[in-house]
Amino acid sequence: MKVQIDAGRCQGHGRCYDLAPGLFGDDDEGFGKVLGDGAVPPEEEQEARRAAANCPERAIRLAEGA
Amino acid sequence: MTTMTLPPGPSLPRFAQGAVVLTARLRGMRRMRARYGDAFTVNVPIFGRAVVISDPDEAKQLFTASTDLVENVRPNLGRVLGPGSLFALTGEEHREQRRLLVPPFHGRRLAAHERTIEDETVRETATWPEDRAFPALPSMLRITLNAILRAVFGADGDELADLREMLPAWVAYGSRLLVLPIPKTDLGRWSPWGRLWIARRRYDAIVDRLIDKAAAEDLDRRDDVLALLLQSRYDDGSPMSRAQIADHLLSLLVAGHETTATTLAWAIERLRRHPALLRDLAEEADAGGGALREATITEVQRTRPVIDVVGRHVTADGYRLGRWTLPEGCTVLVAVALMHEDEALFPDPLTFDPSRFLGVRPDLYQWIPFGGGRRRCPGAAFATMEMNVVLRTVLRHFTLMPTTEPGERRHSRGVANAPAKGGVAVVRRRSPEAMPPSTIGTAGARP
Repeated sequence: MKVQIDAGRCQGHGRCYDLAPGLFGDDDEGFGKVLGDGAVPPEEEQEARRAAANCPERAIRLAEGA
Repeated sequence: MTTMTLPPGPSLPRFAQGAVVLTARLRGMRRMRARYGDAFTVNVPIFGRAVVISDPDEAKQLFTASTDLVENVRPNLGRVLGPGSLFALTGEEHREQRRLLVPPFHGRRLAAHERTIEDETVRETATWPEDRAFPALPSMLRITLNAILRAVFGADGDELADLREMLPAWVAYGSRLLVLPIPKTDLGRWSPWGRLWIARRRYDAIVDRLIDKAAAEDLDRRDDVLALLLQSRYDDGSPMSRAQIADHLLSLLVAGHETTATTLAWAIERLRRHPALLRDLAEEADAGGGALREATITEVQRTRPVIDVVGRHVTADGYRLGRWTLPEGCTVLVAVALMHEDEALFPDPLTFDPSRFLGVRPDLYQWIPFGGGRRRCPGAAFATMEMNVVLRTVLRHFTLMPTTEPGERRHSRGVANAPAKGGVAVVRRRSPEAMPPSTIGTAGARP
C-alpha cells in the first residue's frame, strides 16, 4: 500500500499526522506531507486507512497493493 | 413534498424542555437517551426544534457533509465575536479564512510557543501555597490567557495588560449573552448588548494601536498571529481588513483560553483521585517521557469534555442524516458526552483509564472534544501541546497530593463545563535538587 496527499485539497487540518505520525508529517506551515516515499508497512495499514478516513477534505489517496 | 423523519422526543412545552436541557445538561441528556435511544428530538430555547444525535456514523456524516447541506449552528459565538469570526463564516469564505490560521498553530511555530507556555506556568505556579487547598482553575485561566495573548500578539506590552484585564469579564459576560436574542433596536449603553458593544469598541481601539505598532516593525522576524495576518494577501493581492483581523484575533483569544484552562482544572481534579497514575506520571516526567501524559490528557477530555454539544444547522430541506430526514432550518446537536460514554466505542466508559489511549490515538469522529470535520477546533494541536507542557511543568515542580474526596461535580460557566470547586489542588513543592533538567522540545514537536 502507498499513501499520497493531494496538496491542492489539503487545508492543514492536521488529522493525518496526528493519527499516523509514522506515515505523515507536517511542513513548516502545518500542512500535511507524506514521509519518505509513502510506502506503508503492513503493520501500519490500519493507521493509513484511519488517517484517510479522518481527512475532512478527502485529500489522502491510498493505492492498494502498490 | 419530502416526508420528514425525526427521532422521537418529549412533548413538553419548549420552556420546560429548555429548563431540563439548560440546567441539568448532562443528566437531562442521559435521561433522554435512556428513554428514546441514541437520537432524540427536543424543543428548546435558542435553537428551537433540535435533533440530538450521538451515533458515531451519523455524527461523521454530519461533520463531513457538504456546506450546501449543513452549516455551523445558529446562533453561534459569531454573534459575540463578530461577522469575520470563523464561527460566523460559512462555505468558501470559511475555508479560505481558516486556511490562513493554520500556520500560526502548527508546524515549526507550534514548537516556538512551548517555551512561552513553560515560562508562564513557572511564573504562575510560583505563587502556589503548600499544603493548603486552593482551586487550580484561576491559575490555569491566567496561564492560558497569557499564553494565547503572546501567541496572538507576540511580545508583551501595555496593550496586553489592558486586554488581560478586560477579556475574562467580557468572555464570561458574552457567553451568558449568547442565549439572549439580539434586540432589533438599540436599547442603549446600559442594556446587556450595549455593554458588550462598549467593550468591543475598547477592544478595537487596543487592536488598532497594536496594528499601528506592528506596521512599524519588521514583520518577517515575528511568529505571532497578528504579524502573519498582517502579511497575508488574498489571491488578488489585497490585504486583510483591520475589522477582519480584529474578529479573528478575538475569536482566538476567547476560544483559546477558557476551554483549555477548564480541561487542565479537570486534569488536576482527576489525577488527585488516581494516586497510582499520579506516581507513574511524576516518574515519567522525571525520566523525560510523555506517552502516559498524552494518553491521560486524551482520557480527561473523553470523560470530562468541557463543551456539551457540537451544533450544525441544516440548510437543505429533506437532508438525509442516517436514519433521519430533516427539514431546512433544523438544528442538529452532537452530544459529546453521550458519544464518549458509548460502550461500543469505549469499553467500561465511565471508568477513568488513560491506558486505553496508550500508543493508540482515538478516531477523531468518535473522540470529539474539539468538534469534528472541517469546523473542528483549528487550535486543537496548540491546546494539546499547551496542556501537555503545563501538566509536565506542574509535575516537575510539585508533588500533587492525592485525595479520597468524591469527584467534583460539573458546573457550567456559560460555554464550558468546569469542576464545581475549580479543581481543588493541594501541592508540595519539590526540592530543586530533585527536579530533572528541563527538556524543552518534547511536548509538541513532531519527528
